[in-house]
Amino acid sequence: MTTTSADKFEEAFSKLKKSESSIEAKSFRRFQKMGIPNRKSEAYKYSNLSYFKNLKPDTSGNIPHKLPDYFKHDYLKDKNLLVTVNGIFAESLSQFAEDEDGIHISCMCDARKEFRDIVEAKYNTTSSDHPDAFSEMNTAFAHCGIFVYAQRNAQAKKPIVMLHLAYKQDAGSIACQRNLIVLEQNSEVEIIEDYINLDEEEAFNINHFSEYFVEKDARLKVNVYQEESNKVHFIGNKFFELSERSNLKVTAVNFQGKFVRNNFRVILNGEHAEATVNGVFINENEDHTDSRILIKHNAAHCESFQTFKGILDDKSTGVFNGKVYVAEGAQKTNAFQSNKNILMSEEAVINTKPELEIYADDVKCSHGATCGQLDENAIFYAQTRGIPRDKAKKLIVFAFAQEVIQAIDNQDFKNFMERRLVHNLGLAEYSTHETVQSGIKQ
Amino acid sequence: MLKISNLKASIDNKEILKGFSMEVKPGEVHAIMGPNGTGKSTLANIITGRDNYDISEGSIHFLDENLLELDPDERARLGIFLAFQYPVEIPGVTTTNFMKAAINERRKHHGEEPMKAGDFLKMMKEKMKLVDIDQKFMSRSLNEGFSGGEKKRNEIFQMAMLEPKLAILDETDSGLDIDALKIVSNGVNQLRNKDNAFIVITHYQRLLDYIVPDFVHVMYDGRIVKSGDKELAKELEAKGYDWIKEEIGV
Repeated sequence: MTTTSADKFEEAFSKLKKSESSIEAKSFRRFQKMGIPNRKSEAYKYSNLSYFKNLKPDTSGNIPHKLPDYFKHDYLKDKNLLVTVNGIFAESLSQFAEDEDGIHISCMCDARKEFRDIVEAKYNTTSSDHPDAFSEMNTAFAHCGIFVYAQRNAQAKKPIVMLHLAYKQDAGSIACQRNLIVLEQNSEVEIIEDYINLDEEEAFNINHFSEYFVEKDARLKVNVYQEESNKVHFIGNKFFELSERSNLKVTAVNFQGKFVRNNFRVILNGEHAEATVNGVFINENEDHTDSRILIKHNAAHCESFQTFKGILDDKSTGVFNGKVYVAEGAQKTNAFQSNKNILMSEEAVINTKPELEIYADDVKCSHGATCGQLDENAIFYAQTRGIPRDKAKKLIVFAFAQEVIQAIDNQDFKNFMERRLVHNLGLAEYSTHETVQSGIKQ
Repeated sequence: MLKISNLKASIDNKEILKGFSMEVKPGEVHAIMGPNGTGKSTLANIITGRDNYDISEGSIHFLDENLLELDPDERARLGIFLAFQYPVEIPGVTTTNFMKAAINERRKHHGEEPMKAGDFLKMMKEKMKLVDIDQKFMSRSLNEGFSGGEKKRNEIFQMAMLEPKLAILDETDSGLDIDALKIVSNGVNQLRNKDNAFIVITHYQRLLDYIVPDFVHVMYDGRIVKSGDKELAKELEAKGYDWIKEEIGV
């Protein structure tokens, strides 16, 4: 008798010994019922998930002794650095900068003891509206992830950096990484999330799920950087809830990954809240990147902005599905959405699907999607200055991606992203930075 | 330096150049004038290597190289430069980065090391002065949001940076007011020397008051129909093109 993936999950779950009334068990049962989605599911129409059907939860628990030297980027200096390995918080690899008033950072396990009320009030409350098999799987199997809590009026002066490492997973397994971020009234936090796999030859599979609560007047920035190997399969769910006058800015940069699915869901629950979700990806070979964004305007006078850009070469594929939902009564909504893609080869494919669903009558919503080839006039212009055609194309791609990168507020992180972009495009000799610092993949 | 012989070229089966010939020697400035649609810009595009033309006959040689076999960037690195009639905007690429790329490609071609940042900046400053460009343009996206005059000055600035052997100025005067025209011309004149050459394409004699040509050619229907010195330009300005048409019998 062969063991099916469902059996493997069942077996792994029974080992966790959770009571049937626990959040984990409820999620697990829902996950069991849903199973891994197929292409009939609208949410995964253009992404083939059959690969995920043969996996089991990762239980390796391997933690490296130290971080490789290449983590000495300037943007990490003097920062709070929180490291997870296959979803498990690794205190030995993390570094804590000096305490900041009202900012609490810990692993989820400690948070459940120390900030029990908050965790109970918030944890796993964002997913009920729109059930997703992977977020349910995550809740059932999540390891001890990261908890960030900013008390009322607290302002984190330094960004909080999270390094999510993949390292020596069980063969054929998927690691569930889980974070909870809570910003109380008028607090301010910036987060940088960096996903890295420590062995490029190994296949890694990640199921990431973060919940973010941005309460009245609070301000949250999240910078996400993914440059994993072409053997990584990644599913990420990031769910945000925003209250009155709160502000959110997310930037997601993705330079490599065999299969990357990013699901951003932003719920604007309070009036005058504002959300910006930007992203850029570069796909090569047979990479696949699927960005799904839902911005839900539940309250009046809110604003949302989405700018997503895709660059696809070789036989790579991409999906953009950005939806703006305006609920009844969410008058004076202002929602903007733009998706632009460059196809650099004949075989690359992008599926882009901007959606508006509006139930209020006094709103301003705009959306646009383009995909095209590089501008031949610009290529020729660069060539007449002596720049070879191939480099000219890359220079234009660089410029195309820059719109998203230049909108990053954190100067160190912006510079770092620019250097990575330069490096990945092979434009180091063109960089204005005197020395291009060694990046993660060198 | 440049020798074009009996060049015939067409686009979408429409013949534009119908047996064009000219020769340019180092130190010379040639003006090409003529009414709209006679193939002046096509000529500039073909010399620099735009590939959407069919060349059915003729040849272009530059410094003994057969240009028609080279890519546009290879031609540029040999020392050919085109100041565009409509400079292209490249959002996100700063003029500084663009020039750095161009200069270093040329240096690589000559087996030289990339230019040091300090030397590069010094050179930039020097050349900016030449065409009176404000430093703030250097960190802005190339040509994006530049006025017509700023774009043209930027072309001459790039020319100054790249020090071409042969520069083609494609209607650089169009859209320029008199002050900008003087600045641009002054820039060109300072770059003139016995080793380089210019082809100045223009509708009007006005530019030639400032950039004084050694030869003036009238182009009509895809070829040169009349050549002379700078006096020819003045005559054209005074009498228009009709008398030329009559003279050649069309």
